Amino acid sequence: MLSTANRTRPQSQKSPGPGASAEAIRGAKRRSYFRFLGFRPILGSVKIEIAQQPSSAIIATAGSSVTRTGAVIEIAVIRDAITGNLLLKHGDTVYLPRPDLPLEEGERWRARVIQTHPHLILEIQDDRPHAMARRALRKHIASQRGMAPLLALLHAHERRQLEFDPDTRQRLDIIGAALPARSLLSGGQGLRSAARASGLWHEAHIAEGQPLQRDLKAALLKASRDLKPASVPVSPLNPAPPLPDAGIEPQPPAQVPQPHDSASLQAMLSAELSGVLARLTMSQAVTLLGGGTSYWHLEIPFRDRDGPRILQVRIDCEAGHDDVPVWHVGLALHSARLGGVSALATIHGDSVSITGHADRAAAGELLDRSQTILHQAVELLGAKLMRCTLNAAKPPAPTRMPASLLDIRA
Amino acid sequence: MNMDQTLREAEVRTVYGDPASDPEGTSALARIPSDAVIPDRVFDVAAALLAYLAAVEEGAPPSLSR
Repeated sequence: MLSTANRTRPQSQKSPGPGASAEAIRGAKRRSYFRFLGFRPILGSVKIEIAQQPSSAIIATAGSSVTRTGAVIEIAVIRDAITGNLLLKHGDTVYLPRPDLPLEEGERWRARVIQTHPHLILEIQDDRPHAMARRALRKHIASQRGMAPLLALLHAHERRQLEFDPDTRQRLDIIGAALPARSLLSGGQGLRSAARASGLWHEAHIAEGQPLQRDLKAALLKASRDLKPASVPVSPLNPAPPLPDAGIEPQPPAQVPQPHDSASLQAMLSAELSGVLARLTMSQAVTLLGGGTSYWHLEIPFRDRDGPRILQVRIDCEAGHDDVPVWHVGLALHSARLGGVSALATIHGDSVSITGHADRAAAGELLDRSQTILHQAVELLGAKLMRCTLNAAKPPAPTRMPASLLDIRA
Repeated sequence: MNMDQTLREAEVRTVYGDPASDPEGTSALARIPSDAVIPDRVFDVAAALLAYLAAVEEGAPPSLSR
């Protein structure tokens, strides 16, 4: 919390000029950046100007530590213990932002110093999506659930193992229609299209005006519309898997306890749908925070012969020593026969290296003995399998972890 | 209920909500980088791995399931 010892309260404060109408401020929110106009920190002489429309003003209230135009500084959003106002703090200097700005306590912004004289102008850099994604993570971290229990309910419905009411059946059918068949995942283009439909790009596709006919997040939202939340606490059918930022682990199928009346089944569906949507949103936020154009985290449920399963995928990219990018793709899958299996492929030009691990020792030995199949499959792609270890003692190390996520747990 | 109608409402609300009333940050999620920047080879190799796993599963002795 801000101490009053390290700042001086403003002597006066005015509203923005008449040009800064509510409409203009709403317009400012829609822009990809926010510009703040500050003032020389002269006590007793606080002046407000609007540099351009739309714009928002802030008031410097103490000695400014910003001295160099072009510098990028970090600003923290704090709350004044006395007034309750949200303030921007840099070093020992505190600024009062307009209340119209959608800031939240605890957020940190990077700002570029546009001008220091005659008054200070800061331009907050475009990490608004990151701040919003962090907020989404904080909101969903406690409620997220893995997809396995929801898929178990779907499986029980499709096998007619449980008696669902018509409304619940309709909702489960919507989810079931969004699952690709396993055969689709055995080709590169099929896997890409299944990834596209995994819900990770749900909002992106709509924003582009190209929503998919089949999209998992759209189906989950559709299936959960007007569904009453569980009136009594519903125990999770399975422990939640690791959070999306903690690496990828195979998710085994869940068991649905029987028997259940239709009301409790609907309550169960409501709780699981809500948890799965929270987890999917977390995966999206993790991807957004994970490095701009070089990190993706996906969970792809699909239909297999024995029922629905979940494929976890993590893709990232780093610069190679020869300017050729190095791509990593991690996979994790649970199979009835092999148990949990995870693998990490590293792709550098035409060279491919693969490390795999099976939770069951016998499965690891079988994977290793069957390497020839994999060598042939990679060669068919015109690539060369340089190194292949399919019986690794430990799961392959996770691909690059977004360091920014560490802030979420604090 | 009319499922088609409610889907459209849900999509519009999550994507185009004003930032101040979009606490989940869903409008920000619209900016997730496209899969188009991921080379085909990445998906090809991943799919080859999955096909390999499927083939091994198919030929695995039942004793492995224990």
